[in-house]
Formats: sequence, C-alpha cells, structure tokens
Amino acid sequence: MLKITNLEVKAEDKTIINNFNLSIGDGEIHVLMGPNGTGKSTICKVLLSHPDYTITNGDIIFDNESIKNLDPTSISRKGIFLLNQNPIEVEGITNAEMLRNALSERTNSHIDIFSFNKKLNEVCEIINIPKSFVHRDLNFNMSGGEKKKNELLHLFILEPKFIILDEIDSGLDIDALKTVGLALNKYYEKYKPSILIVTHHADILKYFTNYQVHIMHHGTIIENGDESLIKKIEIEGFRTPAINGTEENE
Amino acid sequence: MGLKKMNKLLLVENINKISTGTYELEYNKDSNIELNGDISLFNYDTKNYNLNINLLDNTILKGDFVSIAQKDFNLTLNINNNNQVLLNYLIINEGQNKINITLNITGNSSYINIIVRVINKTKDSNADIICDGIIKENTHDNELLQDLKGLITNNDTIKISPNMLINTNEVLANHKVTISSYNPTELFYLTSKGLSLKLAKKLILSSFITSFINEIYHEKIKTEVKINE
Repeated sequence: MLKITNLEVKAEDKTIINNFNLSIGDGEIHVLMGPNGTGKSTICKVLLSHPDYTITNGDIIFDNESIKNLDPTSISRKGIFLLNQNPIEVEGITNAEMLRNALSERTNSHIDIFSFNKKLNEVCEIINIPKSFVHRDLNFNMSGGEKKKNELLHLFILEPKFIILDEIDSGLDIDALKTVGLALNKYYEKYKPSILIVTHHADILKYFTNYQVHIMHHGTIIENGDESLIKKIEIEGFRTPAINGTEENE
Repeated sequence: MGLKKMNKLLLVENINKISTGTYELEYNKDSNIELNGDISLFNYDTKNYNLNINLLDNTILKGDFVSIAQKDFNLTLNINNNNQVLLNYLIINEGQNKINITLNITGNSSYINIIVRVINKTKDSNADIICDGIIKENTHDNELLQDLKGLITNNDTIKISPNMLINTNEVLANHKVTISSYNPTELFYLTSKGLSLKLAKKLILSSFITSFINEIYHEKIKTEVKINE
C-alpha cells in the first residue's frame, strides 16, 4: 500500500529526513519510535505534503502511484488520514460543517443529512463523546483528550484506508487512552486499514497485535523488529546499540 | 437592560437624546446622539455618515455595528463618568476607505471594551482603520481594551493603527492588533481532511465572521450578518 524509498526531506535548507525507507502493506500495523526530535512527526506531515517541508530525494508510493508531488487535498482523498498530535483550534467552523463539506466535495454529491447525522451519532457513542461534539467548533476550547477524540470523530466519518497516528497517546489519561485504543481497534476490525503509529510509549500498543516496530534516529530508521523490540526498549530505553553506534560515529 | 423595548430610531443632524432601551439606528446624515441609562444600540447599514455618541454619567452602552464601508467614516464616543461600553464593530470594506474610531475618555471609573473586525469585500480594496483611545489627564480608574483584527483574503490590503494617547497614570489600557492572511496551519489542517483549498479558504473567511457573530448582542444583527455572510 505505502512504500517510502530513499526519502530525503528538508525544511529551510536543513535536512531532517535522510535515506528513510519504509514499506507498509495492506492492513499492516507499523510502529515508529525514537527519541524526541528525530523526525517522526515530520514523516507524518510529509506524507500529507505539509508546505513547511520539501522532498529533495526519494519517493512516496501509495497504491502504486507517487504522491510526493500531490497536495494535501488529493492525498487525503486517496484515503490517507493524519490524526494530529496537536490538532489546531479553528473557531467558527464546526465539526459537522467541515465533515459534511469534505464528504460532499469528495463524492461530488449532496450529502443526505439524515444518514450523515445518524452516522455522527453512532460514532459519538463509539468514542464516548456527547452528541453535541459534532456542533462544536473544530477543537476550539477543547481539552487535549477531547481534541484527540475529535480527531477520531473525523477518522470514523471520513473512513480512510491508511491512518497515521501521530502520538495519539500523548496527553491522555488512562480512561481516555482506553477509549481511544478501543475505538481504534474497532475501526481496524471493521475496515482493516493500514496504520502507522508514531509513539514514545508502549501503552497504546496493547490495543493492537501483530505489528512491526521501527526505531528512528537522526532522520532515518536504524533498527527494525517485531513486538519483542518494544520490550527491549521498555527496559533499555532508546539507547540501543544502533543509536549508541550512531552517536559514537558523530 | 431594557431589551424588550425596541425602537427604530431615525437620527437627524442635531442632538438626539436617547434614554434606557434598545434602539436600531438609522441615519442618513452625520448625526449626534446623547445616551442616558442602559442603552442597547445596533446598526446594519451600507451607508457611512459620521456618528458622534456622547455618554452621560452612569450610562451603559452595548453596541453592535456592522458597516459596509463605501466611503470614509468617523465614529466618535465621548465617555464620561462611570460608563460601561461594550462595542462590537464589523467593517466590511469596499474600495479605498479610511475609518476613524475615536474613544475620548474624559471622566473616571469607566470600562470600555471594543472589538473590531475588518475584511475587504473586493480584491484591490484598501481599508485604513485608525482606532484612537484618548484618556485625558487627571482621570482615574478607567479601563480601556481594544481588540482589532483584519483578515486579508486576496490582493487587498488592511492597515490598522491602534493609538492610545494616555495622559494619566491611573488607567488600565490594553490593545491587540492582528492582521493576517489565511493561516497556513489552518489551511493544511482543513485540506488534509480532504477539503479543497478554495473551500478551506471560504470556511476560514466564514469562521472569521462567525467568531464575530458570536460576540454580537442583538439577534437581528446576527441574522443580518448570517444572511449576508
């Protein structure tokens, strides 16, 4: 489904992603971990063609087509969804308004309000939020946990086939993490999307099985493994031999 | 507040005296009004004539003004003792226009909070907004807050000059001014959800006005702005 090859990314002439390679097949779950400032969130944004970053080498292939020169709208409409680490607040645009417009443009048709509202209500129950959420402004005056749930609302309505979770677990208390984890699990069971999970912690991973793990450092992947790699990180931290070796060579 | 009472008030050039109540203003000439009591004023007008408002002592003014500016315009508020002024002002500018908002504070113990939002209706328009807060010497215990925002949507320009001329130490005064084009972070967020760039910009422009509407006190003005949004 997604293949990133030899990716090099710059921001204001500074290279922040270098020789980055990653392949994620249909329905696969991959976990990207690494120390702060190593480029994990940058990869998430680059996949959606964030204007702050320039791809200077390599390619991003999605469903056998290069998406590296597409705009965020086109990439989103191909089915890639970024669940933001810090969703911005937009006062004056409601969830319902944004989602209805996004669906209407994507399908080039009028959205049936009855079906749309019915689905919104169903999703609100799944992610344990009041139905009034749909009429609230985008993330405006929401707590950190509410913002993450609000992103989940968008996810369930837009039904993407590739999900990028950029530190979905940050700022969530135990109950909120459980709600989010179970909701994501439910989405996975129903739609079988591919998922790229970017996280610092293993807590969110207990809601997933059969995933592959990649350790990122200085803008590139330095170690790959399975779930056992998570246990190793929990004990040793990110100071794996590969990272130590990288630092020693600097 | 006497919100149940609502009068449509046609202002004339000489001084119009208004007491407690809610008034929809209409004026076809430069006008002066004198307020006394708890007053609620609103105006939605495409014509711009100079308006001079004098608040007598102990008067509370809640005002909503929407101006579709097609020529220069001056709004002057003369504030005396123990006044409370809560003013929302949306300026939809069309053409090259200068709008002066002057707050003359000559008394004591007044609270003034003015919110101004500016957009240009047409590209190549140029809005020049000057908001003067003048606090006279020997006054005390006044509080003046100015919140001014402009959204540039096209080839247009917006200039906002907040001036505070403070001649006393016993005052709390604060102003903030933002003039911005479309926020790239907001555009990325909306387009990454699948909205086209064109529709994302349209929604942001709409949200700029909607956030102003949320501050409006008068239902009739809310309705007028929503209809014409």
